[in-house]
Amino acid sequence: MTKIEREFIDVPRDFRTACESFGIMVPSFLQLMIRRVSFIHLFTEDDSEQSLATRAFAAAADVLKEQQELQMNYSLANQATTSIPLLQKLMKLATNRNYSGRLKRARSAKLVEKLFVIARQAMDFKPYIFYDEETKITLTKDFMMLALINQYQPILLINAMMRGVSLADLHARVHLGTTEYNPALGFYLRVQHGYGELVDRQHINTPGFKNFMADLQEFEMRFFPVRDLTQRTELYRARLEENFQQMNNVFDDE
Amino acid sequence: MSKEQQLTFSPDFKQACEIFELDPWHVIQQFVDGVSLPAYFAFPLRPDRWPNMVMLECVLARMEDNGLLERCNEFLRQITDTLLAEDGDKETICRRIMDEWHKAVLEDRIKEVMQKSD
Repeated sequence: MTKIEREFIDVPRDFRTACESFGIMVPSFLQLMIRRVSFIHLFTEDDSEQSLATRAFAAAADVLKEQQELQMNYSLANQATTSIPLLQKLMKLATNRNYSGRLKRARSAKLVEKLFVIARQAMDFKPYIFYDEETKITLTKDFMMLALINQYQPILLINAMMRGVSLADLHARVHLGTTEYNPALGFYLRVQHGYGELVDRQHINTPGFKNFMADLQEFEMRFFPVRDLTQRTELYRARLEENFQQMNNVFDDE
Repeated sequence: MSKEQQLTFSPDFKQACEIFELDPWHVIQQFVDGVSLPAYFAFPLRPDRWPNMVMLECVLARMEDNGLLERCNEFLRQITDTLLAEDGDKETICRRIMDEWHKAVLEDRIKEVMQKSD
C-alpha cells in the first residue's frame, strides 16, 4: 500500500474523478460525510447515510492498521473508569429495539459529548482542518471521537477513507461480478444519486458529462475479454481519466 | 421454410421498416455483416461497432448462467495480452485466437456428444 499522507488532505485521483465528474465539490462531500458520522453506528447498523459514513471511517481505520507507524501513541487507560459507564449506556441504547435509528442517533449525542470531554484529556484535536488555504472543514464531536478511540489523526482517517472511492474499481467489480461491501462507496453513490444535493445539476446537463456517461456504458462490452480485476480496473481508470479531461475541456469551451 | 426464415418480426420493427421503406431481411443482414468480435476488440471505438455490442450483450447474458467463462479463460487471457501489447496487428492476432477458440469449442462439443452416446 502506498504511503498515506498525514499532514494535509491528499485527494486521490480516483476520488477526485468520482466527485468532480458528477459536479460534486470534494470539500463539500467531505464536510457532508463528516457531519453524518454518528458514533453510535459503531455498535448498530442500518441503511442510513449516517451508518454508511460511520462505517466508512471505521473501515479506513482498519486500512490504517496495516501501517502501524501511523497510529498515535497515547493511552486512554486513565479515562477508562469514567468512560466505561458511558460506553455501556451507548451499547444499551444501540441494542434497544424500541428505538428507531433516528432516535438512537439523537439520544446518543449527549452521551458522545460527555465521552468526548473525557477522551480529549488524553488527546485533543483541533475541531477543524483546512482543505486548502481558504476552505475549512469542521470536525464534529462524533467524528473526533471516532478518531480518538482509533488513535489516528483526523486527516489520516479522511485520506484513508477517500481511497475506498473509485469509479474504475466500482465498475470493474460490477462488470466482473466481484463487488464487495464498501461503505465509503455506498455513501458516495447515495450522494451521486442526489443525497445532500451536492450534484451540480447544471453540470450533468452538459454535453461533456453526457459523453462521459455514454462512453462509460460501453465499458462492459469494450473490455469484455479482460477478466482480471486489476487489469480491468487499470484500463477503466485510464479511459475514465481521459474522458474526465475531455469533459472538462468541453465544459471550459462553453 | 428454413430455420432462418422463421424469425418473428415485432410490430415496432415492422413499423419502422414500413415507414422508412426498409427490407427487414436487409436490416438483419446488415447487422449480421457488422458482427466481428476480433475487429471490435482491436478497434472498439469504430463508428460501426454497434452490432458487436448487441452481440456482446447476448454473450454477457449467457455468461451468467453457466461455466462458460472458466472454459474460455485461456483464450480471453490471450486476447487480453494481445490488446495490452504495444504493437502488432491486433485484429489479425485476435482473429487467429478466436479461430483456435472456435475449434476448441467444437472439439469439446463432439466429445460431449460422444460421451453421452456411450
